[in-house]
Amino acid sequence: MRSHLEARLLASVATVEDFEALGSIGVGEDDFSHYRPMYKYLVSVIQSQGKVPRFLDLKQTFNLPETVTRAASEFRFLLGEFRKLVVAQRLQETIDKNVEEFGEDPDALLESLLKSLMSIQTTSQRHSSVTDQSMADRMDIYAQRARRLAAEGLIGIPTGISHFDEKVKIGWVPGELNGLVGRTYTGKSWLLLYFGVVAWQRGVKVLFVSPEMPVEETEARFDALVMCRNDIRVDVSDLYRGYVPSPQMRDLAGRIGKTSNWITYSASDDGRLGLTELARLVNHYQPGLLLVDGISLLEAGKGRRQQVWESIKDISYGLKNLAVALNVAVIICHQANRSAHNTARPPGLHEIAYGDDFARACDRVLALSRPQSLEGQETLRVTIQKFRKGEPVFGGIDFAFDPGRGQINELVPGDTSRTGDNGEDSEAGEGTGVSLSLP
Amino acid sequence: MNLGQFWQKVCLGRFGAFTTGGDVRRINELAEANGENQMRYAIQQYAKEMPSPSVKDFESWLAGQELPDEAVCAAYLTEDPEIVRMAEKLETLRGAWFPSAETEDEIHELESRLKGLLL
Repeated sequence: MRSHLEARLLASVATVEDFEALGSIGVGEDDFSHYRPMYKYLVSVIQSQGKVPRFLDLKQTFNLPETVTRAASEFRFLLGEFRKLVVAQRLQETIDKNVEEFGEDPDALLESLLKSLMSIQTTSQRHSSVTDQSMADRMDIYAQRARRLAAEGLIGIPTGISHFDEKVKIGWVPGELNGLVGRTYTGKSWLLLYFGVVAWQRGVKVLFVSPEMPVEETEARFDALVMCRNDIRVDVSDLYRGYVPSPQMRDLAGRIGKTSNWITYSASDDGRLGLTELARLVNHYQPGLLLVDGISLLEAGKGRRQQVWESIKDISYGLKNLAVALNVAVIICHQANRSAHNTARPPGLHEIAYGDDFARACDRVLALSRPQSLEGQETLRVTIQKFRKGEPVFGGIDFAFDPGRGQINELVPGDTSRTGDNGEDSEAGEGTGVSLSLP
Repeated sequence: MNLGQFWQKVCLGRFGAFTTGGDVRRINELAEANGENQMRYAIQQYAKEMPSPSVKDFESWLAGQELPDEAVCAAYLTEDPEIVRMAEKLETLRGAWFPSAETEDEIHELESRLKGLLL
């Protein structure tokens, strides 16, 4: 059965493009157990003559059965069938290998299996494309994007940063890894939540993963941010302490309760979270935006000890791989390893643990700094240090930053949304209410 | 008021602690080595963080700090919003990971303006 399929597939290769299609779905020499010499022969003829050999030559050289013919119309069908066979075989081999290696330890077996199985999917389906052949298809994709841009105003998920949303018009894009770096207590987790809330308000499903912050704390912060964006001011400390909600709050909570687009996940008991666990969560919840609050408590995989540099590198590229394979936009926080008194200066690349690898894996890197508080206004400055699809913004973008009361919003010239111009706050007054406050 | 006197004032005013002549001399030596504005800014920051001051402790604290340069510290000490904003913009630009030629030019211009104004 298998040998027949191998023979029919290779015999149906009528053009060089057909042969390249094998490679594009991850099929190679090792996958042909019966007709490997025929595959190698095809490679050598294509390399030397730039075309595939005649069917007659193949038939005579490899003594193909009479039933095998070259039918160009069958090629796509045979390719699909052969890919299924190859995937099934790789699955079996992967399971066998993992059971042999970790059969005594079910936890390690599960971890290793998830990781290995994900790599099967990525190499076979996601990472390769016949670039020249697909150019015409891309024209359609570009046109489709232009239509979406005209209809929605931006490509991707809204970020809450006007530079991305309004100037460049490219929000968080599925398949991108975005890094958020800052020193201790600059407000990384809050800004991460802010990005999540902005996306969630546009109906994007958000998965917030915190390897260290308890779910209750994250949810109290979510409540404070969402309330503030609906003109209801509440101090997050009050929520921790206990608070009698106003009818307005209950009404808002009732409306929000009809949606189920935000999932908060806290790490397991030992405070560590593996990449494979993260991939499992993404597969399960299917978010559009994955937020990970801290790289340092993630781990690349169980079963072997790693140096810190090795671990950061593996996690960074693992997350990028996850973003691409599962088609999700990812934002992750990473901490600068020292505090400094020039707080307006964003942390340097050298201040981030193994920042080179981290920055290389990220499509965008945003660095946070805190200019001095002037005129009673707490400010968070976000500089765009790397932006693969556009220009960096080294001068920074300032945010009004009073997260304890749920207020985070970009400061724009002539902004009137800052806290307490008159020095007073109200529970349901002016403030940061936004036109699109509910998803 | 020289730096030694400033140190005395901070110790007395904020902590109610007395200082010795040796402390004052050491602070003045540090000011000569580092720059007056930088030291004054450092003492201010140290005073905000430390409950009980000592010159020895201050020196070890200082060794672990990455303070802004003399011009930026001088700008911060003015507490003038416009000047502080300018200094902060300079610091932000200096934090660029891969600065472009325009960024370098902007940094140079801000440095010149601040130095011209304050030093």
